[in-house]
Amino acid sequence: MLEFLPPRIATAVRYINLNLLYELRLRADKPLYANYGGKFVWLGAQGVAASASEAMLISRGEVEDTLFAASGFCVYSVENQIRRGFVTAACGERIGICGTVVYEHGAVHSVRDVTSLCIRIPHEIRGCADSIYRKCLSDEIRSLLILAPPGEGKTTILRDLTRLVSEKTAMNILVVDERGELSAGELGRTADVVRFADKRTAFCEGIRAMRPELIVTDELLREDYAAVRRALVSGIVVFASAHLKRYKDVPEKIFARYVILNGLGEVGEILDKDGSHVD
Amino acid sequence: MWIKFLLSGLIIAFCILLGYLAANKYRARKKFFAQMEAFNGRYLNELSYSRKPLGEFLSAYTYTGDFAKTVESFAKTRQPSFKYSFLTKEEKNECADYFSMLGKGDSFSQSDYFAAKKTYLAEKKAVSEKECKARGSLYLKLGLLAGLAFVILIV
Repeated sequence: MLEFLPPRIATAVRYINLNLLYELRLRADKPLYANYGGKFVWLGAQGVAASASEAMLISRGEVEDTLFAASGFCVYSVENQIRRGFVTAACGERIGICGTVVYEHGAVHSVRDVTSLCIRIPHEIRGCADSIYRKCLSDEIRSLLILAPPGEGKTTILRDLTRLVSEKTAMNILVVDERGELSAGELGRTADVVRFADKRTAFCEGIRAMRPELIVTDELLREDYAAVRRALVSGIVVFASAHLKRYKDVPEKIFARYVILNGLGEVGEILDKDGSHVD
Repeated sequence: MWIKFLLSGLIIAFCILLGYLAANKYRARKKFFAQMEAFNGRYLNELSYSRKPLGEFLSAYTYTGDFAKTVESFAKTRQPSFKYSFLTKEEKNECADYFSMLGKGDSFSQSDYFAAKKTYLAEKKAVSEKECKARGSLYLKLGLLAGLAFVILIV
């Protein structure tokens, strides 16, 4: 995990508990910032710093070196990811990229002069989806959508839910892992993973080629609902997540259950298709 | 009498061996450029199809001799090693430049650059093969002649 960090930052990170490190923010010529245990803190050469002035200053070279190392020292193998503003490292760390976007023929060609990186560290938390399974799926495996703002554990829960369903039901599961994060952990013995494909392609080709009974995917956008609808109409169950806080913001109410998280990994409300509370 | 024959045989064999060893440099060059040309071809194929990460690509194929050491050193440290006496200074700079470009760009620009290197490497391979054949044969003959000369003079 985090093998791509430059030596200075890697040393600083060794002073903290990696199990509590959720996010690292590298910004050129700015102090090192991290989400540690759910709170944002400054990081110095020997762990958590009391203030920004005591934190480690990240150089532009370190930002670029981190990105190059995270890409496996080869830009060509991650060029499609870079065009979409991220790179997924070897252990599933998702690195968001901020820099100058280069266009060619009206489409994004590359990103240069990278100045900020947001490194999200995946954690496998076995059992975090137990309550959702018990409340929503124990009698019947039905489609569900997990709603929460970014960074509240949707991907971690989806991953654990996939593993649970695989273990308890042995259903054939297709994991549509557009950003390479979902598959950074145990998904169960009956899961097939399609990585880095857009949802439309993955759903369409995956349904034809892999004959799944359940599809699991992350971060639904408005334009992805058509693919989900086609899967549901084909009789395939879908688990998904979305960066939304409220049921009423969901563009199409096509799922059987809506799980709204209330803080980091905390299950808040569970609603049915009509928005009524489920006990 | 038979001791003289034995000694003559040993002297001639030794001189031929020296001749063979003298041509080592050309054999090493031939092998190095042949492997580098093969590496380039494989890399171009990789760029046009599966685009495996560089680390995986480097470990997917086995190389031998000095080129294997270069690839190993590059894979470990991202700094290729060219401490070989059979390469000229210019060739060392070219090789260093070649390796420094690996992975440093999207597939389109990488394909462009390394396709341009195809001609250079094909030329180096052909020249080094020709040299190896010519020099190898020459040094063996020189070794034989030197051996015969020693035998005539000494024995």
